[in-house]
Amino acid sequence: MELAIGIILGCCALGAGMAMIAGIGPGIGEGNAVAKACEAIGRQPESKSSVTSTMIMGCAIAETTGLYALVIAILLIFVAPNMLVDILKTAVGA
Amino acid sequence: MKKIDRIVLRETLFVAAGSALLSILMNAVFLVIGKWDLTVLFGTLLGYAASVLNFFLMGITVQNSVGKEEKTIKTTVRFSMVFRELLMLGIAVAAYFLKGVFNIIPLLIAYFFPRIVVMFRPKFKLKGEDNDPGENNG
Repeated sequence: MELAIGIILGCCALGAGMAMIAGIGPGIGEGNAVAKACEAIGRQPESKSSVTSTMIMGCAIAETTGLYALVIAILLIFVAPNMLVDILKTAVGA
Repeated sequence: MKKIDRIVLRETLFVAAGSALLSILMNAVFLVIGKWDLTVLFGTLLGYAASVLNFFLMGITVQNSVGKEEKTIKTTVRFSMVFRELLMLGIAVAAYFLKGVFNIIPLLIAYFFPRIVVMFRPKFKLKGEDNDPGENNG
């Protein structure tokens, strides 16, 4: 029983860590997008307002992927272990 | 300290207003399904504050990036994102350990409100957008 609970906790922690790998992509993408937008502002300073506005919206959208990963990781660390251990205990009848 | 750009303020206010509306809607849903209590309200408020703060900090990062070198911008934005994600994680962890005060589920749902509000952003024309010189110079 202890071994099964240990495996569940270990797998949840491993899953949470792997979920956070998804946080790398948005960071790189966001950096590239902002760099290119700043380049565009440098070429056409008069369009600063519209480019900045679009850039902020684009960043907010790109960042959601990272947030999904974060939320999955939080759920795997704090919510899933209790639920899975309860299911295991019910199944075993302990 | 650098002055906050009016574009950043405008967009943050829009996101804050939209997120507030969605927070009220979420609490109404919790009330209808009979799961509402004060912890849900506090969780929603904390999640709302964290998500709007996250959006505002992102706007500040973007504002400060203008005029810098490409490599510096990339590094700054990545660092900013890591910092903001850690902030969100820290808030969620704190809420988990204060179970009696905050409900973590509405808090996590509230993290996604800015994304939903941004989806509807092109349908709205905000005050001050008409005076954008860039719109007419194309």
